Amino acid sequence: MRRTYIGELEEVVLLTVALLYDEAYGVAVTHSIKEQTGRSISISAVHATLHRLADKGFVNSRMGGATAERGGRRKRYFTVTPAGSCILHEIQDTRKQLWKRIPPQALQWKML
Amino acid sequence: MEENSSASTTVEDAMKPSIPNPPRWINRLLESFCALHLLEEAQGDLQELYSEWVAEYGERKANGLYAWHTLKFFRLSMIRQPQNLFSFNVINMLENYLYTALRNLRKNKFYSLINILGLAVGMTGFVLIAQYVFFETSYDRFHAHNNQIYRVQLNQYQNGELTLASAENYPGAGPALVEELPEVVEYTRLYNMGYKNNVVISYEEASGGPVQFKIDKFLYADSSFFSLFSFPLLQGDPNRALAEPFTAVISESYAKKFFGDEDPIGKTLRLQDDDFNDERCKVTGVFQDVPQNSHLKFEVLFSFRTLYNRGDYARERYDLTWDRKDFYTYIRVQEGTSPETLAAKFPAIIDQYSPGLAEKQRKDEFLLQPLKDIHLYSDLAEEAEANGNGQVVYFLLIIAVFILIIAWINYINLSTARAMERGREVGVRKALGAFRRQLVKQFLFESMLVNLLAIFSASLLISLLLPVFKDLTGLQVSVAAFWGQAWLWGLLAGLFLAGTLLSGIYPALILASFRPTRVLKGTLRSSKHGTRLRQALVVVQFAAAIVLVVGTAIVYQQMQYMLQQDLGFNMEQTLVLERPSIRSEDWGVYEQGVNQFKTELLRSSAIEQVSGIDFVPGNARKFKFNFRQYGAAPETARSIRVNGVDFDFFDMFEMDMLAGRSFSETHATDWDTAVVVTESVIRVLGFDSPKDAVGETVTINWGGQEAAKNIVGVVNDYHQASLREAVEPIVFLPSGFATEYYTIKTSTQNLPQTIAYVEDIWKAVFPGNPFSYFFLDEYFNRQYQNEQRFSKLIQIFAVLALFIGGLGLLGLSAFTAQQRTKEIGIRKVLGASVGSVILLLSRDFTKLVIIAIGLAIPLSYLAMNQWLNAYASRIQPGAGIFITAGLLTLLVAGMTVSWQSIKAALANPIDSLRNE
Repeated sequence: MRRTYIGELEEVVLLTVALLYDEAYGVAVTHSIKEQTGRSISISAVHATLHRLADKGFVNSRMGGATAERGGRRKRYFTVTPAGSCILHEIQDTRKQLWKRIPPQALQWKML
Repeated sequence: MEENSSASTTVEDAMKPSIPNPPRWINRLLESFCALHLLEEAQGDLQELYSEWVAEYGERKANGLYAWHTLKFFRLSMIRQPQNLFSFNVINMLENYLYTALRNLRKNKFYSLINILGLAVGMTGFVLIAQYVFFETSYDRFHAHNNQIYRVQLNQYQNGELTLASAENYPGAGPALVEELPEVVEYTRLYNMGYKNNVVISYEEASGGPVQFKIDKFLYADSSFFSLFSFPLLQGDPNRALAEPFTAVISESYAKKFFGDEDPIGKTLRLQDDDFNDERCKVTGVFQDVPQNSHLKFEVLFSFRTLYNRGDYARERYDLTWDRKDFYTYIRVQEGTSPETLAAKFPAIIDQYSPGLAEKQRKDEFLLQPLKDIHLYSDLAEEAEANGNGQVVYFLLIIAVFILIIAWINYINLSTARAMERGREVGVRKALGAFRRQLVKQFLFESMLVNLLAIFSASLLISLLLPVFKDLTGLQVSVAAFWGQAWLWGLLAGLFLAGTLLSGIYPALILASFRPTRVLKGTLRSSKHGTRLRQALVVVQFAAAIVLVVGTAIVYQQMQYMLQQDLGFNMEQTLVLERPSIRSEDWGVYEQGVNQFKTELLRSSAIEQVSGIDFVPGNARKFKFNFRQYGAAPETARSIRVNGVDFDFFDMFEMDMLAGRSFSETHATDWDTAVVVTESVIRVLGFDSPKDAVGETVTINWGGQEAAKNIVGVVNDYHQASLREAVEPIVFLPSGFATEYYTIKTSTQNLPQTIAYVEDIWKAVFPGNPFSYFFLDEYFNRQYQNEQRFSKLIQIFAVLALFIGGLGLLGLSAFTAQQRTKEIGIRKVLGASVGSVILLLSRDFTKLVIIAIGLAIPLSYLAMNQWLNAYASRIQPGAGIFITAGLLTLLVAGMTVSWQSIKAALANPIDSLRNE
């Protein structure tokens, strides 16, 4: 099976969805990314990324109830699928292995 | 993912008051492009963010952010995909429209041709005239500071009467204005040798012997010249090039002519003129050739300071004086300076620098002329070149617009008249479910197609006609340069759009409004209303055409009148030479040279007479002095133009000596005291009759000095200037051999040989002077160049208007005849004659043309009378012109209509009645 790759922004969004667990929808994800990483991502970019993740099968979505502050429109909540969880773990493992193999002097620049 | 996502508008409305509302149109924008299944959440999130933004930044900024973030949803993954049927349908429909339109054009070749040809011809005329207008209005706009540059005009009054309105000013004026007024940033002065520039400039060190040119496009210019104006320098420093005395800056092409491929910088040019000036200047710069749309045209500039070295009084004469005025003076003012407020400060400055004018019953006035208005709106004494005429330029533009309208009317008329034929198509389309809007679109599409074809044809025509147009207007523009103009493409695009909409929308609305039930049943007849409108439009077309025909006739007649009018002297077969620029300073030697020149010329049997004059008729240069009867009070003095002539001048120019005698060499005192005056001088100075005036003495005041002159003769009045101007009184002074021009009366035979003979003698007697000549009649008639151009242009327009109008009428009459084929057949079967049928078919159109004539005659009379009023000597347009123009139009219309009527009338009724 061909592996599905995941971009850096996608990774951040996916992690944020996981972090928010049951409360992950567009605005919440945007705000959370801003708080956690300091990055300002426009709402449209977040939407685009979420739907891309959904197409790749890493998240699921369901519609919530209508609320007044949204002018009566419903929220779409996202949750991480098993495939999403899998890929997040995989990424972390890959990174850990890479870190382990880096010779210590290669990243010594900070000490100077 | 594919949940139902229809927006719940009722809830939205209910929630409105509690939350801030983002602008509706932005929401609608999002709705227009966002994929439907993504819309709800997107709008919801945006709304939520919007509430936050309002709380944080206030509504204004929140709206901006909202719009920005909404726009960012426009990305490939989020916009609605064109997979819905509707979009494909649009393309299919367009294809269908294109087919229908092309079929329709092909099926009705005759009408299509009329439509496209009419539009193309109209557009061609319009674009060419637009080019002309654009050029005329583009004068001097290439200067970076053109909005802040003014020329300072000088008006002189004597005894309260305006005696001179000049483009030139005192040399002291420019420096004084900069000194006294903080708003005036800088000035520059230009001097053209007292408006005469009889100058030869030579490069003497050239390897192949001296290179010499007689250059009249020559000026002395202040060092500020290149900073005030924006003539680009190719070599040299714009701020330093003319700063030193004896420096020169020359044009690129003259640099080539003088120095070939050598570097011009540092080379010496020598100037010699007929007033014995002899100056050597070093070239310090080369400027790009002056563009055609500059009112100042020059090939060589010498530094102004060079003038200060012309003897002890030079500084006074050329820099300081407020007495002699032969300097174009331009000033640049600070941005935002109002010319009116600035001009209000001039009188005080004139009083300060030029005191005591009032005691001499004089008054001076400075006026500011915006640089870019000079070409079209200035008509002063001593203009730098013959200017254009703004009124005529806009007149032409209006005419061009009319031509275009006439062409559009054709399209409207033909398509509405033939609407019936398309009625069935409309009916079927509607029955099959077409909306009115779609039909309007369809017919607009058709008119777009016709206009597109017309634009292409017009572009072709324009390219073909450009050389002719260039000859006609004197405009230097190559085909490539012409099509390289950005505004032209804008204009074509505008014409295309305007044409499509203006000519297309009305027919489209009419066609689209047909009721399917009625057209399909065949009960729809063309409405009275539509016919009325068509008739009105035809009247407009022909009225415009008639106005143009009348205009053409009147302009032509006035031209002929001016060219054939007795000018008061005979200028035929007269060759004119300017006196040599390089000549001996010894007057004896000079006189001997001139006399030798004349004697040798007269040896040829082809030369009848040789004389001389200072101001050739048609020369714009003017000198005026104050004259009064001897002993009369100074207040009675009148400013009168003077001219200097050789002894035999009146004889050669065949002027009538009304009383007294001509100047004569045998009267020794003539040189000092004699004057000959024209008839009107007698009246102006208050003498009773020519006879009484002869022998009387007048006082002449030349710049403060008074002298007594004796009137020895009175000649008839003559036109020194063009017939636009009234006859001026003129006082002649004897100049003898010293006149500035030599006039040579030749016999008609073998002119080239005679000119060669004159040239040989010229070269022998005045060595080192380039030979150049002109014919007096051509020179004089060059004053009518503008009129001639206008006359030709309006002629062309009149023909165009008649042609296009005729085309339209042809189409309409052909259509009417076609529609009435059966009726005519029945009439003929019942015994109608061919003549009566022709009459029947032609009557309606003839009526329209006659109404047009009735409208056009008063209109054209008013317009042309206005035009003629600019001429001191003018024709009175007689009834003949109007009758002829009316008949001509009637003839064209009649022929057009009867061609179709006769065809219809001659047709065999069997053919038309056979099929039912």
